[in-house]
Amino acid sequence: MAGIINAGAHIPFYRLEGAAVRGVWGAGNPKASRPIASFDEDTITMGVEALINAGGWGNINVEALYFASTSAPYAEKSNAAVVAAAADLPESAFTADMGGSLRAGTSALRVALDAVRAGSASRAAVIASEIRPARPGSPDELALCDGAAAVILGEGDDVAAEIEAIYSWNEDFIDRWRIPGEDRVSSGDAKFILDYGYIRQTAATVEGLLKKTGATREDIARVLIYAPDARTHAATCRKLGFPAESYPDQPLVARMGDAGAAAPLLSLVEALQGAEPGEHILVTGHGSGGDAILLRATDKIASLKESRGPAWCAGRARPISNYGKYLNSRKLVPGEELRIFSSPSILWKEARQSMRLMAGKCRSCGDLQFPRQRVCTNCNTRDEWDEVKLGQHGKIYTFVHDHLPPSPEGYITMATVDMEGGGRLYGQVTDCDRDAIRVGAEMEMTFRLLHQGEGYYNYYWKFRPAS
Amino acid sequence: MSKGIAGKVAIIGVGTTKFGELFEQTYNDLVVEATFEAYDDAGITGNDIEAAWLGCYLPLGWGYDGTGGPALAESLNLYPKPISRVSNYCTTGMEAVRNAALGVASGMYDCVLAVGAEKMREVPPRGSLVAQHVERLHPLFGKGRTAPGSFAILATRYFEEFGAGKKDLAEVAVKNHYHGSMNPKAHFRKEITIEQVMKAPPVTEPLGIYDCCPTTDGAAAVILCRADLAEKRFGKKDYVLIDGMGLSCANGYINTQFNPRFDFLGFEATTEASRQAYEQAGITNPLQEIDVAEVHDCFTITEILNYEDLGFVKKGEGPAFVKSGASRLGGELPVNTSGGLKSCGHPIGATGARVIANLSEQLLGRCGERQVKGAKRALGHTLGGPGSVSSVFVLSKN
Repeated sequence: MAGIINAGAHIPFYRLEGAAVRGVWGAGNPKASRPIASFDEDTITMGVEALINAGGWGNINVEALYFASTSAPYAEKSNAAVVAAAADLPESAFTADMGGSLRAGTSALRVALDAVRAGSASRAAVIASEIRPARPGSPDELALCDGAAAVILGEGDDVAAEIEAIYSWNEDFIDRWRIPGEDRVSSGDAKFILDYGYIRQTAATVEGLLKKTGATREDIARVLIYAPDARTHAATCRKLGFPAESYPDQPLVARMGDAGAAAPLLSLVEALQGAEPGEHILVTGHGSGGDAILLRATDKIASLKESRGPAWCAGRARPISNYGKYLNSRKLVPGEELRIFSSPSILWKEARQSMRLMAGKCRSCGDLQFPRQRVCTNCNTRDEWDEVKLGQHGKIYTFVHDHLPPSPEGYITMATVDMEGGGRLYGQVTDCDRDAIRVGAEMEMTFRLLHQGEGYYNYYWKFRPAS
Repeated sequence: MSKGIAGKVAIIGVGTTKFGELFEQTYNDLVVEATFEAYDDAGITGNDIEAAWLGCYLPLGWGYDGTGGPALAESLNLYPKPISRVSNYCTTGMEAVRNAALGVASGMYDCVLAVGAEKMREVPPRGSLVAQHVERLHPLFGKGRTAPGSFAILATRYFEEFGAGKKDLAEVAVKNHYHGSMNPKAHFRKEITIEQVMKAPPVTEPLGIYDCCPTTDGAAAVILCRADLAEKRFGKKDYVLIDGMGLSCANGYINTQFNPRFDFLGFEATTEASRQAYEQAGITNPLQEIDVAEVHDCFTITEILNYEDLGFVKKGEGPAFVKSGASRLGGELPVNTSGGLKSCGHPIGATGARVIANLSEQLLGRCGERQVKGAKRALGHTLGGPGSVSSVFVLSKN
């Protein structure tokens, strides 16, 4: 039995509300509340969050990582390897980047399952992560969704949702597309692409799966269709003849928008967290053909409920305070030009420290230090350290709201935080209400894009209030 | 030969430029003006100088000059004398004086020159303040840290611990602006009110714009000689003696805020540097034994902490000390009668040398309406980095 052992998601803290868009453009869905990645997030950082939410802080024991995104920060250079370092995966793990199609999320799931079944990876992590681009004022601005989902696949008794079958097919079809470098998604004739693209192709995908497995529509408790909007989701389910109670009245796309390659996995994580043992779940991926995946919740399904998933993320979301901040965050208006120093050799040689947050514990006096020195600052012993990963949580010792460094927030909050398990860390605070920042406040670590010094991405950890 | 510096080195001449946004002057102009004022004060010429030290913190950070000893030789035509540049964060100017004093005390030289200079306003204030931390330093650690931020973060903790607030800090700004209003060479010569300080725009909360020193150009020069030659060779009846000087690096540059043993309530560097200086000078009760002090008020919170770290008052009593008027002109121990960094500004390499120059003038009774009557013993203090290095001098009139 192979299937999902852990699951988690990350949907950004800030929402772009219909009202904010209407205030500027005079049009836009007033009910929309579109998750938007913060200025310090990209699909790598969101993927790290999702994977940590699925697999925990450190010691995520997987032998393969498949990172799927059509909006990965690097077109050339591994994105998955950044995720692997930050999520503290073993260096022996196979890492692969997948993209090119909104089907990349479900494709990655299929490839990972094959790897587990073939025995090339006893456990494999799958991440689907997207930041969906839209031009200011366009309908897509409120219709798309940023977010990431992660699942860890494995075999045996720990499986919470067995993957019973996957059916895939291909048929080249121009419905929506994006050329590298373009800042928006293009579309064909709306009526044509909905009827002949999304609905017809997905219907064929699902029919294929049902035929392959012999399952009936009544066997499936939860139907999760990839669709660009709620109406298409409902229309596809109706066309396929599923009973109304088997598909959600308000699917994720209706509540948050179209998360592209991340959408099927986000819906799946949400469904798994609400599923009962024995339930069958169908999830589809779409794009020039389709992937249909049939899962069955095992008696371990309840183990997934505690993870941070879409519901947890939605519970802490905030509307972004104004449209200008949104434009700034997404670099849709020119910002202050900075020439920030960085060096690949510094980042490389200090990666265990800065990416995996490895502190040094002095073998002589037991002092925990970060950043680690060669000579212990407590007892002067040279080079006698055990590597210890810093905790995920800590308490603010002191802080400052600094208005000098450039930031879309208008200021940067810097905090010194005493970490659970020892060590003290100093760094930026993100995704928070100002009132939440006080001496003694509980914080947790979040992996973020710090800056783009020297033209590449410089990632590091920030704090945010623990929830 | 006894240990310590007391009695070995005399200061026989000082000079300072006007401090301010000196757009019409070059780095070279500043060095020449300060040094020739000091030559005149000492009654010497460049020919009497055997060696020199230049304090310039970050020449290529905002200007183009002051990168090494030759930059001083070039300005003053001091070829081919032994000159080196020193740099030690915001103690840099004092470090030039300290090294010069050590050169004399070692017996190597009889008469030397220390110059501190910084030309910061060739770029906008933001260019110097922000660029240093945002665009330079380690690519990841401490990114987002700024100079005012690394002091404001102590204010937050201090407020939490001792119940103090922004108004306590404002007292420092008001006092130092009052002193500065009487100093013709200060950058700001304007009195301000508590209300103005409280209402000023935030810079690094809880610090506002009036809690911060400005970005300034300036230079200061100090001429030192063997104490026994001050009168015999240079004909000085009144001069200043170095009684003690201490320096301490008590924290790192990047990792200060990461140090679990740092309580963010004061600076060990100051405590240790003053301990060294007090020991050499034989000072056991600084509040009673010191008549006038210049301390490093880069930000208002820093001056409060300095009172405590220098042993003027106990931990937590700094706000009451300034509020009582004790550190105001006419008080028990007037602090920053020049106007301090708050009013003079803080050309980083110049400040420490400026402090020594201003205190020398106090000890020689030349300060006019800012004069502390009968001042016989003076303390000078600078603090650098995120509070990681401090330099303290104790001076007296001969």
